[in-house]
Amino acid sequence: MDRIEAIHLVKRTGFGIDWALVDQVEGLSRSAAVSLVTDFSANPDPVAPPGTFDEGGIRWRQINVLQIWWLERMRSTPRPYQEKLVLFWHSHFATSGYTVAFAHQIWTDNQVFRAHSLGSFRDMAQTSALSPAMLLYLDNFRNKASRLNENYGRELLELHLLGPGEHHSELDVIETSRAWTGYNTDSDRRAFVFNAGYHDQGQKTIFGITRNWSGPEVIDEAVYNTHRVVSARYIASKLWSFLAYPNPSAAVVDSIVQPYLDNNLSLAALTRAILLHDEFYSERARTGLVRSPIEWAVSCSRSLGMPASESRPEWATAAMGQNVFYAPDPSGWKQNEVWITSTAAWAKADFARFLIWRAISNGNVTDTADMSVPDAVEFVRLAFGLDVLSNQTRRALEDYVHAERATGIWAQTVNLMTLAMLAPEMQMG
Amino acid sequence: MNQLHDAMINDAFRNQPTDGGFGAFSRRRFLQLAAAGAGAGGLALTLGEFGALAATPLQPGEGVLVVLLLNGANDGLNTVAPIDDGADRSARGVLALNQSEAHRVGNGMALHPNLGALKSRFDRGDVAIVQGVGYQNPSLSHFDSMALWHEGHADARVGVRSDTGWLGRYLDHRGAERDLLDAVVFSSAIPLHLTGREGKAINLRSEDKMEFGVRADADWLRMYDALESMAPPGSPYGPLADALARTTNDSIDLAGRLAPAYEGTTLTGDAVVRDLTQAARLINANVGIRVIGVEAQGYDTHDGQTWRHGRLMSQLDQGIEAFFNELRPQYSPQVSLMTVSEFGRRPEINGAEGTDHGTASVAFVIGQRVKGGLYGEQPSLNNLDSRGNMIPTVDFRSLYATVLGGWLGADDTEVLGANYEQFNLFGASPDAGTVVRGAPNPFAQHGYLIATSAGGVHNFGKHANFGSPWVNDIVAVRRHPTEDGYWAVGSDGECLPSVPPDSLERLALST
Repeated sequence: MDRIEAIHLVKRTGFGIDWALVDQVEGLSRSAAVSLVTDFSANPDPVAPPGTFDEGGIRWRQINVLQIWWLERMRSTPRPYQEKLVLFWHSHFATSGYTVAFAHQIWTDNQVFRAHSLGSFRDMAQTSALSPAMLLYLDNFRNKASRLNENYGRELLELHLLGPGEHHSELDVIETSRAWTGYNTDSDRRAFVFNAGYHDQGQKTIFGITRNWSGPEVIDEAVYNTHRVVSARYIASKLWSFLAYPNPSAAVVDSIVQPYLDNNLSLAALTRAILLHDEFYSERARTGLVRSPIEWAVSCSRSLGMPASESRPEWATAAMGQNVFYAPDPSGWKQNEVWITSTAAWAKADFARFLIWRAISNGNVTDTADMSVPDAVEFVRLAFGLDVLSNQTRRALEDYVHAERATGIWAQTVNLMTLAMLAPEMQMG
Repeated sequence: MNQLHDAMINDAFRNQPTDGGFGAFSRRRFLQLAAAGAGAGGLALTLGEFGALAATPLQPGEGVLVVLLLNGANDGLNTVAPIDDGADRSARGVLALNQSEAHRVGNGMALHPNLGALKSRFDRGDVAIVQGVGYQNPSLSHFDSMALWHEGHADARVGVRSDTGWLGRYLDHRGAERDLLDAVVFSSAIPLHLTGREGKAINLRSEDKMEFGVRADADWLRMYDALESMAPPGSPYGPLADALARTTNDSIDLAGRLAPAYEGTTLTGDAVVRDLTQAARLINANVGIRVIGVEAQGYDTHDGQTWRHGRLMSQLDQGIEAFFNELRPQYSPQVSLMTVSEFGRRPEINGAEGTDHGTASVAFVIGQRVKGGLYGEQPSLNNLDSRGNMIPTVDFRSLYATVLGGWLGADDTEVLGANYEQFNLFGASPDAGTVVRGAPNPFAQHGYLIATSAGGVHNFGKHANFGSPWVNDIVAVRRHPTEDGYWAVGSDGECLPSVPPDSLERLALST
């Protein structure tokens, strides 16, 4: 693997470029390189921050502590690919802190995604179905035979398993919802319980098959049998879009779906197939993603050595439209064009200024005043993990430093670093 | 009349714009001049005035539309209820509205008890209630149904996503130069209905520091210039990087233009109240905005509906009041607000004292020029579809056609892809004046151009009722300095911007 491929792999499997990891990956075979970034053994075990399980606490404050905990883990963990995958699944099986009852349910959900992100998709889907955060978010906690609530059944088929389109009927939605009756929470909304008395024991016709379906049987039937390929292609295409670029061709999807199907819906096999793929290293892939607000804010924090507890990226990313643990709707966050907005641009400028001043007061920032102009720009390029600077960006930065030095303004390093964070190169994934 | 517009046009004819439309000045230079109080051509311009110059200010008689999206599917039946219908009371059970507290609006219909201010507005004749809005073969998926509503085209199909939405196409077809501030939306992402082929809405928050782009310290001005020089297309990172650079650069311009609208007192109330108040301030600042999107969240009331929906209705009521109270009276005749939602909710209560996804719902169109009353037909609760949902009586595109044709003066057939029946719910056009001249629009397939006593010249879609005979000749046509197309000037000095190139042939005009 040459340096260009190594940089791309490290960038897409992390939050900003870790140059030491790039050095390790360069020269390895693609297979060995992918194994290296996917080896999470050096990552510390997640430990819930204090207060997470205090059910008398103020929920939004507790969730805020969790946000900081997770954003810090994204920034500091040796193999951030683990967190990147958790972020994907947090958006796929979206829930929101506005509707869950307790902060510990969000914590638990996060651990479910971490535990299964390289496991079987079937296990992930089954576990998510019974997670209290999901039961509460999509109202299945009160879905009963006598009073059907279709919210979960509909989104399970449309968003979690099959994808939008004509893969299932309105009847499938209703009957799936019937199959999920009785999968509720206890009366405190704390934990999953199965209320047999509320479960609809009648015959249901789902995917054309009539029998007394249980809820989990619907998931198994969809992913293992009737919709095995549809579901596999949906999940494969969505993961490819997250890691490489949106809307992959049918041929690309075919080639990554096969190892997934051959290995019992193994997400390890699927994600590995993506990272090994020639197309993943193509020009289209290298220019195919905009950093999400979380990716951008964590990258900036990492470049300036600012822990999340001080940089507080959660406020900034919320302003940009990505408030972690508060998905906007059951379909989660979209990508690319949705992040290219004026609101996001203002919020990025505000965060960049806030971050650089905090970093300076912490003594984290090297002054560039004594460097030559090209050296100052090169220093900043490396500090912010910018693998390539376009000629026009480099010229803009150099012209800026020249102009500033002519006037003797002392804020040149602060401003140069602000510009680096706002450069289009930094905003690309 | 309209000296500002004339001045712009004269200026554009004289000078070829250079970098980014700033004429001879870089942004930094311009800001420095503005800060020093010595503007271009000896005029002292504030940044706000500069913003107004950069846009086309609202012309006399031009309509502004605020679209309030009730996200999650608003329960039309509990917003405007068939209050005396036994079928409603039995289906709704504990959710049925209190008959003595609901506000009766006639025909057996009543507004939710928490819509008291809206009722007063209704009594003043400013609220049109359009009943039974939906579409045939409805999808009950939020995402599919919202996509259809946003697309708003005759060819829209469930599950087939489009690139453009109805208001985006309206702005594309408006026949004026596109400006970044044509449309704004209070949301973190730009919704499809405000996305056109040639541009889309920019998004805002109701509270913003508006610092980056407004501060004019010398080193900040140099930063703006640096970001501007990163913006020309051609990044090795491809079109997404170009779009990011352009947006960063645009955000600096926009902050300067929007800052005057952000100087008011601190906003209070719920999110929808704050956003609607700020929407009014944006109109008051007259920075060129034609369409404003506002999104209210939380309408997916699968459970605990009496409390949740009651609270939403109260916020809606307060939001609408805040908007019209904040709006300067001079703009009241030019502004209408409409509500939309992706579908309604099922008549029958569900197991969680909420309601599941339904079909037909209700829409409000509110404003000084609206002819208040009930429109459309309330769907029967004794004739439900196989899912137990109401059968819509009004296609949502009829609602769109009504505001496009009747309010915005657009060619609704062109925008919507078919001719939809319209409600005659606007008592008058946005123009405070009377029509003095009118004639078939020579530049479009449909529609009329009219001139009014207030000095406006507008394209009024295909609405002959707005027109009287047009008497002006086109006396001059000049090539648009920066885009395909032309500017035409009438014998009385009126100017029609951005005439499409092919119309020259049809008109046998020369430059």
